[in-house]
Amino acid sequence: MKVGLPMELLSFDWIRRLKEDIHALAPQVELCHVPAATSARRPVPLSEGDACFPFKKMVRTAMALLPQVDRLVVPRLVRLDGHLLCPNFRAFPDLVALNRDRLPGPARKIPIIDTLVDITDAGDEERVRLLLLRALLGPETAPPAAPFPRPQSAGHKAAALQDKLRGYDRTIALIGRAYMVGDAHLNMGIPAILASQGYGIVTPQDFDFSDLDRAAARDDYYAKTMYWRGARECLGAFRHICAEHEPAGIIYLLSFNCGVDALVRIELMSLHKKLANKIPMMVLVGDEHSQQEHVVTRLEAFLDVIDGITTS
Amino acid sequence: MKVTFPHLGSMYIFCKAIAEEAGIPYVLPPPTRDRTRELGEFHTNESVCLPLKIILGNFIEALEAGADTIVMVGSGPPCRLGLYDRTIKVILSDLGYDFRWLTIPGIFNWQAFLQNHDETRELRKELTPSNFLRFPRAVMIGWRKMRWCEHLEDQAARKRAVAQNPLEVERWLQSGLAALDQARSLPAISKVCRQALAGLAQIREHGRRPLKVMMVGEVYTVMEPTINMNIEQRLGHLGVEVKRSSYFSSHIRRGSRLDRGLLKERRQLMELAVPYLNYDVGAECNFSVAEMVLAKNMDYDGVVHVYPFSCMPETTAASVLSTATTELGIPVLSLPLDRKDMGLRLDTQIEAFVDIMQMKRSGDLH
Ligand code: SF4
Ligand code: SF4
Repeated sequence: MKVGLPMELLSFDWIRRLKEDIHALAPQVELCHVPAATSARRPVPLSEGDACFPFKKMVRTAMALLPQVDRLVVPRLVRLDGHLLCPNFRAFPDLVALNRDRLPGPARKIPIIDTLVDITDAGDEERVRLLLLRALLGPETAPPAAPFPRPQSAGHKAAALQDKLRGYDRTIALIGRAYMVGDAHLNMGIPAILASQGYGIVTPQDFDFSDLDRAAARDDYYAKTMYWRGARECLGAFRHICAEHEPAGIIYLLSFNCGVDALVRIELMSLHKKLANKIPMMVLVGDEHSQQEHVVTRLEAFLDVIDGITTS
Repeated sequence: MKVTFPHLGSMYIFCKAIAEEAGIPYVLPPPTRDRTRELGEFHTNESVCLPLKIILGNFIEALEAGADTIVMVGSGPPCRLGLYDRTIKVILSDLGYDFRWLTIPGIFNWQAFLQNHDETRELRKELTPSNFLRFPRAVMIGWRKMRWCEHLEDQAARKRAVAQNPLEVERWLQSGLAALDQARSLPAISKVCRQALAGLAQIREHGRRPLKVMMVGEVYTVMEPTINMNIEQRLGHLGVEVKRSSYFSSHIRRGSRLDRGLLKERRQLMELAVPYLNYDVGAECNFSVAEMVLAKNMDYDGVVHVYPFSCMPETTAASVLSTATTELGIPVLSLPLDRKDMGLRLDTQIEAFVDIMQMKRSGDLH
């Protein structure tokens, strides 16, 4: 059986762990994350209006996978680690289903697994995991023998970060939500460009979410908790990296028209103003039409600023 | 203490009346204008939603005019509305304004209660016993004014579409709202509003059956003419009766969870959206979709969907409406709004939309 699981979703730890589960429980399942190159024209999605590019990309990947798989997994991601995802993720399976229903041929009949993912604690995690696995592999599926693997421990992540930065004497904090930083298309090649200039890169994903969450909590008050998980990741990473890693520069990579980033950007700029040591910071807005040359020019200028500061 | 509040829709009439009647000094921000919008745009970024920009602009103008205490109705997740107050506070503090803040909880829970207790700690010291004693009556007057204001606007929307001279409607509406704003007692409120209604009623009609559209979308955009570029009026002047999906009073009633009828109605609307959306996406998204189904069931000629550019829930709704329009056979005009110079383009889009609805009604279009 071929199962589609859009690559964009793999930026979430929880989905990567689910993938490991599927491999362990049903080795016969072939998971597809990226649509195979095909001569057939990619299906044209429903009007996407002015949706952000990451979301459009996610919907397009799901649609392109549909004709190539027997089932498509697009969970309804509402909450992870006790914090909400942006409203787009709530509608993601519905938009994929509406698009699927308009496809010609057998792709229109491909079942969509859209289990509700609303996870605050380990109990939720186990329950949702089993629900999803049963929806995909059949109601008889036994619970996996091993408990759901917890996220890598903070110690493990710290060691991995140390390894990653070995050989670099300067680092840049690249702050952004997991799929912005991790997806080669969405990150516009920034990590590779920075590495080629001799900079090690620290991202929010190099830390345990609970550490970032704690750091982000410093800006919460009463009902005014920053409720999006991705926003907490960025706010927490800013505070944590600035305090612990003394980066030479900070780049906030965001997506044009992202409602979450729009507000986080305001808070990050405010936090940046209050930093005791003036670390240069740049905001890079990526959209569907960003051209690589523009990004390179912006980065070159930014690195010149950093060089100016470090050599003066 | 000088309180201020956003200058939005009928909400400001409500807030102003409360402050006035309770004897609390206040500063009314100037009516939302280009400068208001520009201030909001300048101090945020391109992906921030328009209502936040306008509310921020309102507050800056009010603080410049001497206000020192900002009062705002709050909300909750999952979209940005629940963080408007947090974000605006950050921006105003960074700009160096000295102010106090009070969020009226949009959702009543313990956290909101504690926040309210904390935020009102200082304010309570400055209020006199007389302010407290007059408060219940002030709320009643404010509420009555808001309800009348919405009723007048509703009647004006109906009349605009059938009036021989729609400009007369604007005249009666504006004078009615101004008189309502000045009225200081419940009988006076009723009296001036009945006068305005009588004025509207005597306007001569052209006798043609108007087109009817349902206006759905993001709350502030539906309710505030400066955000929606006066779309209700633009449509009305082309002979279209606009039924709004949102009023401030219904949001307050919903938030307070006291009106069971309203809550039941919302549940039923959620059900209507189910063929398209199986989960509450947040804000008005599911309701925009449901109201389109409702508009079809009620034989409306079309749906106008308004929302701020970059609005997450309504961008999703727009995608869904683009499918539903063919399935249900009801024309939809989706308008993401942001720039202030959209007027001419809007007129062209609206005229084309009205043509489509007319052709559909006359059977020339299927
Ligand atoms: S968080 Fe931002 S980029 Fe991601 S789906 Fe939501 S709006 Fe789009
Ligand atoms: S509903 Fe849309 S415009 Fe309103 S706050 Fe949410 S994202 Fe912004």
